[in-house]
Amino acid sequence: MSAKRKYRLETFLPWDGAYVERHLEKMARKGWRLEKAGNPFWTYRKAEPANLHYAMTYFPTASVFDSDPTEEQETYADYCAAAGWELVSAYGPLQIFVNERPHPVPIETDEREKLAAIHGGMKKMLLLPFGILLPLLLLTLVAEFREATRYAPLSFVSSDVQLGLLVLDGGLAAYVAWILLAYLIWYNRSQRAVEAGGACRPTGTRLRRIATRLFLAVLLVASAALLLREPVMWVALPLVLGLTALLMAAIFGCFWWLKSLKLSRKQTRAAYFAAAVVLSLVFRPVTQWSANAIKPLLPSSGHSPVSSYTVETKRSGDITYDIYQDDIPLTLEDLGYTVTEEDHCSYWGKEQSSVLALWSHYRQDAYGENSTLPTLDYQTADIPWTGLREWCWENLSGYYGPYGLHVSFEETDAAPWEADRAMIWPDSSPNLRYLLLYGDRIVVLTLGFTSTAEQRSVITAALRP
Amino acid sequence: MPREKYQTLTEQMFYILLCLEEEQCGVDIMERVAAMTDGRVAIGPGTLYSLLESFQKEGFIRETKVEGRRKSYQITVRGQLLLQEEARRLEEQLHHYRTYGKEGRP
Repeated sequence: MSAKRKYRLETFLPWDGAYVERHLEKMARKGWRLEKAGNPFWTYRKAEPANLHYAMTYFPTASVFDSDPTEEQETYADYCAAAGWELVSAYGPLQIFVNERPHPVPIETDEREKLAAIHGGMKKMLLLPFGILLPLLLLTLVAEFREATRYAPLSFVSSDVQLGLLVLDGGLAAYVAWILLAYLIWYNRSQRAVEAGGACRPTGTRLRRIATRLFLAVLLVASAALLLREPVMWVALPLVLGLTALLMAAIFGCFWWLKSLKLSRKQTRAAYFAAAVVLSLVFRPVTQWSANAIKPLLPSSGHSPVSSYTVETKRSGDITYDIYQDDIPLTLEDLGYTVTEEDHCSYWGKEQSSVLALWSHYRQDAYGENSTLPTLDYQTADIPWTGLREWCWENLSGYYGPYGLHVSFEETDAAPWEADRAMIWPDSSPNLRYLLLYGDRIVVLTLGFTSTAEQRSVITAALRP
Repeated sequence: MPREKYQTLTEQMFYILLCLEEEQCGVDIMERVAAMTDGRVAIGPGTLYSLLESFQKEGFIRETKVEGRRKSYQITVRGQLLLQEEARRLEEQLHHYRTYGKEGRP
């Protein structure tokens, strides 16, 4: 038995009524008649194929929070019914009518009124929600960039997850901005055309529609591909998507339940926003709980401490340090220091790679109470793309510290390091901090001692590509 | 803006106001205008609804009767003046056509 109902995800520019009308007429010819225009799924029921006429119009004063059509909306529907147009479905200001007459009079016969109705509908359905969404997306983007530029450019460019989120946020912001701009351009041109006695401008071409969908598809695939390069995301991403779907379902369920209570528009709206806030707050512990629950499922990073060492302090009580025995390319031993068991040394290393960069961070820490070993901390980042490497160098070498003061590394002689470029942190005692450039590789080096020529050649041999 | 909008009436505005020289139920206006113009001027229901709403807001028509959702309207003095002004403008246009035009003189 074939299905009697079909649910389709309908994506269209909300001011592109002509496209929706053509689409619905085509569906009717294929034997599928629109039953409900939802958000975002539309329901079709099986029927005899027929040549029907559809019209998508806007009733600007209607709201998605209305339990039933307003009296004005019903009067409007009565007028339409008198001209053979039956209301099929309404969602907020959006209304879909069908007409079985062969040559019906269109619902809108005055271009000025038509444009005013569309613009009224767009204020509620496009300009307000997208106008709120765009600044939020831009703020997220700015926050991500700030985080990356001020604190950890190397960690950022070498993380597929961060890059994936950046692509997703940036792409969505571009999409939302593009839709808003496309509407405003269309509205402006249509307004001029109507003032001159003409008709509203035609909406998007087929090519533009395909390009928009393609952009969204590429955006989603690209960000998913980037995110899934990180093995943890194979478990985390479905979890995040699942929980988000659950939250959305709860919010939507609440929305439809509130509408079924037949409250006033104001009451429904207030109750809906209150419920959305409460659900979002409840969602936080659920997310936390789920994150803890999946931890055992996550692939191991193969990076865990081998033991721990506890130091008794008078001020802070016992402090426990994790002792790592990672294989690191340069140790204090290599630099001529003698390390004993009493030093309780930890050898810590972390590698992270993305499509753009390979970043490694290593350090050797001596936790022994009486240890006199100096600090050794170094990072290497291989960044083949020159522009990105320069951007990282710029952001590593100087940043705006507290009170807006710009603090930066200073150029120093690169020859002792056999580097292409070298910079030193001006006031870094007791630790000396260097930025070194070797071809595609940036090295960030922190030494708790003044290096000798011999030590420098050991460091160079270990850290240059 | 409203004044500018009504400086020159569209055909649809003109016929709606003309219809409402007699009290008329809103929903019947479409048929009446079609009959008056032998179907040449068609007013869509959406356009009719929004024009009636704005005419009422501007005081060109008034609501006279409400039976359920059926509302009747009639033109006001202000609306009469607007209609007369439009008729005068059309007559003047016709006069100029007949005076200065090369064709179409009776």
